[in-house]
Amino acid sequence: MNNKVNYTFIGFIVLVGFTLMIAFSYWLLKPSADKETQKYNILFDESVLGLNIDATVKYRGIDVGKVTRLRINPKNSEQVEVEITILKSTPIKETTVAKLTSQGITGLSYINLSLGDNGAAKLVAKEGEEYPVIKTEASFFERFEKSLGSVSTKLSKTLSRTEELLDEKNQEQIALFLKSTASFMTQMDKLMSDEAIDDLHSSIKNFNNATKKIDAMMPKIENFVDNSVAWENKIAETFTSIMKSYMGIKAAMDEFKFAVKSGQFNIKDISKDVLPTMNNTLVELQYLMIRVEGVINQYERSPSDILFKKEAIKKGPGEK
Amino acid sequence: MIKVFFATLLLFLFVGCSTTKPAVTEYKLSLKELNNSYASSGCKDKTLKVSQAFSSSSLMSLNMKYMQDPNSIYSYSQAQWSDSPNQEITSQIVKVLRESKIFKNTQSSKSRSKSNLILEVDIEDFMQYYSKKLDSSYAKATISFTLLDYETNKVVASKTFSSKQEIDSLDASGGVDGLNKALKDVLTQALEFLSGVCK
Repeated sequence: MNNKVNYTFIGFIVLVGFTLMIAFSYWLLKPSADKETQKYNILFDESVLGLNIDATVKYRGIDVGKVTRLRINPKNSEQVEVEITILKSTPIKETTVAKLTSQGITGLSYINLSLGDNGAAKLVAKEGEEYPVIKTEASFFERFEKSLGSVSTKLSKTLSRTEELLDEKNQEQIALFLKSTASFMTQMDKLMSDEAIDDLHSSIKNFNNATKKIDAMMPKIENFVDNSVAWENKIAETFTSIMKSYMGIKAAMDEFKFAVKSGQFNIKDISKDVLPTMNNTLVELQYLMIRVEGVINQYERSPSDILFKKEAIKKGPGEK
Repeated sequence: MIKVFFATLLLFLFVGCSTTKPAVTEYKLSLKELNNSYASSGCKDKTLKVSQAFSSSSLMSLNMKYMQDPNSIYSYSQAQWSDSPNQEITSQIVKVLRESKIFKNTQSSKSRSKSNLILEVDIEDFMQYYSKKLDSSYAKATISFTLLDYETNKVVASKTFSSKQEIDSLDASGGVDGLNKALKDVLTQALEFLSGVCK
């Protein structure tokens, strides 16, 4: 029997087996792509009461990571720096906002990430930052507290002003005002009595009647206005005509003046012959008119005298 | 038949033409024996124009009117003026003034000549008056004379004269006689007045 062992071969086999074990372990322990994470920092200006290490980080309600560190911001003692580790696949953009949210009545809190805009750039660490810093939004309680403070301030102011308003002087004024109001209301009561209401109804009725009459009159008024416009137009035409006549007369007078100036007309010479003759003619005309008047008077007294001489003749003294 | 109808109608219409009116006597004013010698007048170097007299229209017609007491005026049916009293009085005034020679020259209003003075005559009354019972009558003449300066139209002198003359004959003829006398009286007074104006 050959009891001869090849130790080199055995050593080789052991090394190969050990190598394969190491390779298998690596393969087994190698993190998958989904398990790859990214760290971010969140700087809260408010208290992070209820938030613990390993507290959940959600992105729109889905668990995407956890809180890995909590500390006071070394650069600003008024801020709390929260380090979170979340899946790399989580779309953290520049517009993403972290909000501290209370988890029911337990008093525990978690971080909710939201408002990541699709078009926004991916959030990256800036110079001097360890990890990218996600912006924060005040929590409900913070906002409530702030608004409560504001309300309290306003309430305080209101109370102060109310106090000022209700000082003694103003109270007197208010008393007077109330008295006047009471008096006014009494008057209003009187005014709103049945009789007054009846009168009011009557007035409204009269007003309605008046309105109806006015409605009926409106066409007439419109007609009147139209007529007035027409009349105005006529007047305007008349004035134009008068103006034309005046211009004509003026032109004639100008020519006449020119003729008189140039000696074509000598009024004195003309009137010298004409006036005495005209005067005599007028005197004769006066006599004629008196005779005509006498005849007319006679025939007015007795119209039948035109055909029949009917008027009784009164004989004068000494006449037969 | 139609011819007869028209002939009758025409006859009927012209019946009025056949009415007989009494004869009418026309009268004219005539002034006789008027003292008209005023040689010493101061107006001898001035000419005068007598304007047409002013009067009521009744004195400008030919009707001869008389007044029966108190306010009734009638016309004589058988008597009338040959010229209106207005014309007649104006021409009589011109005539007596010429004859009086108070002025250098006296012209009527119809004249074209210029004058130094103008005499305006206003006949206020020139009528025969009867009593209510027609048993008495008188004639009355009232005339105003106003002498004006021709250049300035200022009144040189002005006066009113009146005359009343009883009438014997109660008819138109008597009335004309009375009015003649009254006018003569008025003109005599007026000449006296005018002759003294220019002194």
